[in-house]
Amino acid sequence: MKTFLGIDVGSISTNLAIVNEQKSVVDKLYLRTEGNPITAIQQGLLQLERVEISGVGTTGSARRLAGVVAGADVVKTEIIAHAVAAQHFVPDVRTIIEIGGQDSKIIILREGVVVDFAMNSICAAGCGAFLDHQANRLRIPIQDFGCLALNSKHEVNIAGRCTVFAESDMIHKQQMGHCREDIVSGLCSAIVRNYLNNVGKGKEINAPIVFQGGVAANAGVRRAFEKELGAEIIVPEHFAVMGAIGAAILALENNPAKTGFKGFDVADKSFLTSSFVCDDCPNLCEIIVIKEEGKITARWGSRCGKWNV
Amino acid sequence: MSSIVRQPLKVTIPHMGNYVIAFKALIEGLGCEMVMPPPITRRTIELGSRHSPEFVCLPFKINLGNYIEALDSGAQVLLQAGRAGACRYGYYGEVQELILKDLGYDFRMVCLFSGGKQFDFISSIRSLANGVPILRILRASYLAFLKIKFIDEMESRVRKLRAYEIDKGKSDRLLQDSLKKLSCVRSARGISLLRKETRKKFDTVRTDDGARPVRIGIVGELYVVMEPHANLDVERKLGRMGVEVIRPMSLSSLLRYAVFPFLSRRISREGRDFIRYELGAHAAHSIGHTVEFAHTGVDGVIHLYPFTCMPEVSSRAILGNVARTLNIPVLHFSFSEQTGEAGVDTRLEAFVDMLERKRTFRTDFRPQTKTTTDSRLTFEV
Repeated sequence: MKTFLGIDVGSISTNLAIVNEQKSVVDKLYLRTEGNPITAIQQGLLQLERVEISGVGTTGSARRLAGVVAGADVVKTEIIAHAVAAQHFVPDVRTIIEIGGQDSKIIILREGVVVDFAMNSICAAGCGAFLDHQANRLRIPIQDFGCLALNSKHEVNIAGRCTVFAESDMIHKQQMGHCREDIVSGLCSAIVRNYLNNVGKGKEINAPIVFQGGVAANAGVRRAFEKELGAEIIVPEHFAVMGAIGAAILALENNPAKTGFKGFDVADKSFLTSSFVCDDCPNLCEIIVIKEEGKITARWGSRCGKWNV
Repeated sequence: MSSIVRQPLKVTIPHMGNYVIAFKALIEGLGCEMVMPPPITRRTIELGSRHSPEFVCLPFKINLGNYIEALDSGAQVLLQAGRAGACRYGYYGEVQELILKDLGYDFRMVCLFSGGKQFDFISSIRSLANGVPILRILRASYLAFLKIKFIDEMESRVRKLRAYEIDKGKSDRLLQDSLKKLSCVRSARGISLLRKETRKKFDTVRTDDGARPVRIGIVGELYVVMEPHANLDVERKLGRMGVEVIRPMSLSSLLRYAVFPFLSRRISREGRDFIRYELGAHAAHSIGHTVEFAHTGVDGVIHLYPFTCMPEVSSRAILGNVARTLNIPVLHFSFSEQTGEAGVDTRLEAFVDMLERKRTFRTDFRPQTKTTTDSRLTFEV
């Protein structure tokens, strides 16, 4: 049976997934990118089950880089990857809420086709990175952060427009003597409000609604969405790695005759990235060079296309 | 007895797409010397932003950067179009003059449409062309007009060709070649010959005739739509993804509307189900054209405008309604000097992916989606 690999390299996490021809997940992995996408991909490939791969898809903000490192057959944006994965688990899905590390998006589907989407444009308030930071500050393990919110009796109102204001408001409420549960619960609601007013603005949010991305693990945010939208929120089993599953399904749909996959041994290869500023014109483009075992495999970043390989 | 030879005036005009070529013909025809503003680069935009009010629109800032760089290369007279009543654009010339004077530059600012009427530019031009016979002025204006038409014809050809050409980038190279030649041509006959030559060259570009590219219409604020440096080269990016771009906005069309205002009203009327009055600048056109696109089977629309642009911010809200009612996807971009390229690229890529998938899936599953409201999308393919 053929199997396909999907790699989703985001700002905070790097996810890998292997699916078979029936699109069921054979293996999956959730890693932290920790500012080093290439190492994260290599680590991921080391830990994955070594099956024969017939196609590779990459997605996420480092999709191009991941594509070069792993030898991808399809490189697609997160929007399409998430939509494809959600549709596999909930075929009649009409709205996808995706909140990841540093971005959030909404995807609207009608009759099985993506018809509209939006991504957060201005700020990252309400994304995983901010929740992570707050959990850390309150010394609550991130896994328990959401459950804590469920214990709240009297939610406090937190200004969620901007992370800086939200944090100072949280500190203010905490100094006033509100209990942690109520503050955390208020934060969850603020995040949901912020999401619906920013990303979800002007979109028709119809059920079935699928909630995925790392933040879907947070029970508090889940409940806040249900309350605000008055509808059931479906969190798929593999919610944290949906992007990677989507990329793998896209590779399956693409079904290349011969995959460009460089093999699991990529983990042992040395990849070096460097950059320089091209000063041939005042645009001063930053050119990125990727070397595999000392050989240049990719180069991009110029506006005029001069250095592209 | 030797007469004093008068030095020609050194005149400049800000960049907008490739039109500076046409303005050069006009300025030189008036007996002035054209100072080409250096090409727009990051430095231009930084210079302009540094000396502009923070929340003014991006075109103002880039214009100002162009002026500063041109003044540094010796310009004495600055031209600005500017028409009162449209939007902030009507005050560009006056405000930019104040800022540049405060910076210590010595120059004269000439606003072509200072009085807000179509034909004001004749008196503005005459003030530049001291003593040049009216016939020469007319000839220069005509030549400039022909060059504008040439540029618009060829650019629109390239917008389509990019999606079909087999040797990617070929049509862009041809365009650059012929534009270089165009800037040296000095007669109507020369332009007509060059047009024939260029058309023939475009005809020889090998195309994939089986290609059924996604078609995207572009609407929005005129400068950001027409200046690739302001919109991060959206058109060429789309072309590289194999998209056919349709852009109704061009300088020829704007000139046409200036002379025949009823043509402009006709486009605004297309959107009468959504808006019945003008929103300022060309915001009503953004809506009118989007409605038109929806009815002619264009796959999607991209709406471009500068951050804080009042007319287009108003049209953005209305376009949401158009998109829902007529079932045509609209992607909005607002540009400022801070706009990040990665965000734009991701959204463009996702938008094109979405439109492509929409097409393939709608045709594959046609029997199941019989009840779909946008049957338009199926017969287009």
